Amino acid sequence: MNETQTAGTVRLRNGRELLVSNFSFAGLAVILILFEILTGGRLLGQRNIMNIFNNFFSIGMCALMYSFVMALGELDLSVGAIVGFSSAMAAFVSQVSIYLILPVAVITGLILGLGNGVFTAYLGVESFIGTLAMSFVLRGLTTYFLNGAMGIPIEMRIFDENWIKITALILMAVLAWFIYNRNKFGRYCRAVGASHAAAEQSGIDVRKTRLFAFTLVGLACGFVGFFTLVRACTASSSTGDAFEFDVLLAVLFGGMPLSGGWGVKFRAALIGALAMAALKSGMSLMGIDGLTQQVVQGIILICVVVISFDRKNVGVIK
Amino acid sequence: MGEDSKYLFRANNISKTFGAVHALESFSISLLPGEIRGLVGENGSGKSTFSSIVAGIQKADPGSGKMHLDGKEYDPAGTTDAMEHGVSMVVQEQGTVSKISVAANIFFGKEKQFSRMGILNVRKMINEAEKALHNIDADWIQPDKMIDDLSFEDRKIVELARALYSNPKIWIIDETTTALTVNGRQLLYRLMQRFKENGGSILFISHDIDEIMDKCDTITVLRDGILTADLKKEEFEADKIRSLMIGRKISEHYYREDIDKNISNEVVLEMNNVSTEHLSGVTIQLHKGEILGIGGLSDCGMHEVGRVMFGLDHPETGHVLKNGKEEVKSPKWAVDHSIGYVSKNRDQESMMLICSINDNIGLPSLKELSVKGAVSNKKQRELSEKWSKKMEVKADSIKVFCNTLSGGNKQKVVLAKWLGKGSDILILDCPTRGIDVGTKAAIYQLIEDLKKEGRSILLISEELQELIGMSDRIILLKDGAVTGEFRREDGLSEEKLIQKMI
Repeated sequence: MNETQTAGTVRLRNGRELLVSNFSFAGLAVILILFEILTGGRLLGQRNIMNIFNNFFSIGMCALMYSFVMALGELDLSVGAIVGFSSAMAAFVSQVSIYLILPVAVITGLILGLGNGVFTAYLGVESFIGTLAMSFVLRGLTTYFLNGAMGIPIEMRIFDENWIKITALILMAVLAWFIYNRNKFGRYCRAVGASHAAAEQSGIDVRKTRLFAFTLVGLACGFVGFFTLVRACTASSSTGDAFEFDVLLAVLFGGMPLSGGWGVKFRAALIGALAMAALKSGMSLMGIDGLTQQVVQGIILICVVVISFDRKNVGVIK
Repeated sequence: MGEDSKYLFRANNISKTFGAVHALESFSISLLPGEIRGLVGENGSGKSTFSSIVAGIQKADPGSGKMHLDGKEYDPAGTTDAMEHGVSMVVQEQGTVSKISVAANIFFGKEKQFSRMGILNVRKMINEAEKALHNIDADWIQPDKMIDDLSFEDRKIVELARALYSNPKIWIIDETTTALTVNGRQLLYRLMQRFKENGGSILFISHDIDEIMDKCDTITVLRDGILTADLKKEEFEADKIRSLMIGRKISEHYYREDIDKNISNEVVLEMNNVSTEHLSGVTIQLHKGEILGIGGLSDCGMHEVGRVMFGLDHPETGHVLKNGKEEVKSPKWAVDHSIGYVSKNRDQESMMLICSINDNIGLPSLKELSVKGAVSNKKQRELSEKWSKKMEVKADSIKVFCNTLSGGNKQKVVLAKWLGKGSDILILDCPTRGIDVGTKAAIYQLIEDLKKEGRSILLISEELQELIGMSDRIILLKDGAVTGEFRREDGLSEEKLIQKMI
């Protein structure tokens, strides 16, 4: 009975996996075609391509590192707040020296990611709760420090060049790809997500693995914070607002299972980010307002989770 | 019909296929009133498939064959229907429902008899549960307690109470004894005897051949879904049964036969005066090239010994030392220092189920498989191929997911993982639990080979025969303290050991 039952579930799981892994490609194609038609060809028009890229850049940059946290079967709901806080910190120090903007943004992100890692790995706080709390704290602090908004010298906009961003994204992608698919750390993350006990008993330092994964996400958020700041030349309390949902939706749409483990594929981060960028841009082109956009994203999130969520593999309902 | 009326239960030519796999092929069996019939076979031979058909969990192939109970045709629509017809089953896995009381578990699905107008009379249910527990001599279990507060064994006993409450005619016991300690087994055996005397029939499934031979009146052997033999009590013979199960002659010896008097004095792993929540002042030394058996009743602390030695649990007082000087700090430290560990909870702790054989075998060795920061996929494949071949893991390729493997094959993958890592010290916690005879023999052979290579093995087991068969030395624990130590050269026997266990 046992063996037959598992055989049954395996078939079911494989069917599900097939659906999930193709869902992202199909979804991306649907979004592109649908909005290309609805916007009369403007979606992929020359002017809008850069628009899509700018959306894709932020989401993708963060989603790349988010893969590690997803592989662990964890969540990070603080990425938007980290982006906001690190760009606020960078704007703050720009008054001292503009050379401090980049390092401060990146280091702030790194430290906050490390903080998330400590909560989750060493203090045993469920990542869902810990990062949510982190998010609240940072949002509050950002508003408090900025007291509205804070500008930086306009010449910093030279960093908003496409070639710089493309290079940065490619470098980040290569780095993340290497760590995820080639270095042992990526496998450790997936192993911990697949079975925390088996990973520990195979000699993996589970806590350190968790700590690093969250730190990597923080690092990516620091970079996103920097590029967001130099694009607008202003940090405000709404910088990075709802960004955590853009990223989460992107990786889920890309086909990463919430349960973590070996099913988390790296390419999902990029496909998902691209789909989300196209979706957001397409909706904006059609003149759909922000609130309606959120409704659409929310509905997509529910659909994706229903399809990809394997309840049996998670202890805590996320 | 005259022939039929003699039997309490008959199944004729039952077949069951899953896709292309024949789990059962024209299998026939019959049970007399008051008969205990053992059903044996390797993992995947169809024992559980058959018992689940009888218990109404699944249906036989349409048009394959018929079952008769009490002379009437029997075709259960589901488990409840089967129970109403008088067929009860207890299985190996945990069958209780958590977060509810013991009484609610015993009467799960039968609450109606205690409710009036939709309101459950809890008092009445608890009283009835008390009776049910009393009937199976398990008075120490309180029916109003939450099931989760009970030990694993007591939960199993609650399942027994549940199975026997409805006064069944046929009782199927599927691998239940592996979950029980000696006391629990004695209770189960008593209940079986009583059940038999009252004219019921028992279908008894177990991997433990000695137990089967001792308790059963007749034995049916299954291999690959086909009936290979029906044996009467006078035909029982352990080796014969084993070879009928496997279909080939197993090598003459099952356990090791030599006595090694020249064990090195070098201590490779030791715990000195270690106390934890479950252990009090335990000192154990494992020597190089030694097979050290750790035994006792299942809650005596022997599993904790393995966990502490591997760095999974930390001693409150005392030290765990490797080579007499270095403290074992964590599982990571242990693995880095050539210690391997096989947990007794294989599916939860020893392996990643929804991952390939390759991923599992390579996991502890990723550092060695890396070149300049990148894990070499080729090297990992070679490693996995090599060791899964050596362990004779039955799978189409190393890409196969482990959740599709049988218990024995899974355990082979777990062992392959440590062989691939090249660990010199292996802590094996119940390595043959719930595993078929063929794999068992392979694991014993492996342990013997490892010893010959000079590796050290800490063998933790609830099976005395296994400890006696394999160990150079046996240390027995009771209530977290060492109660006895025996050497192979002095002669080992169950009687001697049991005295120190209870």
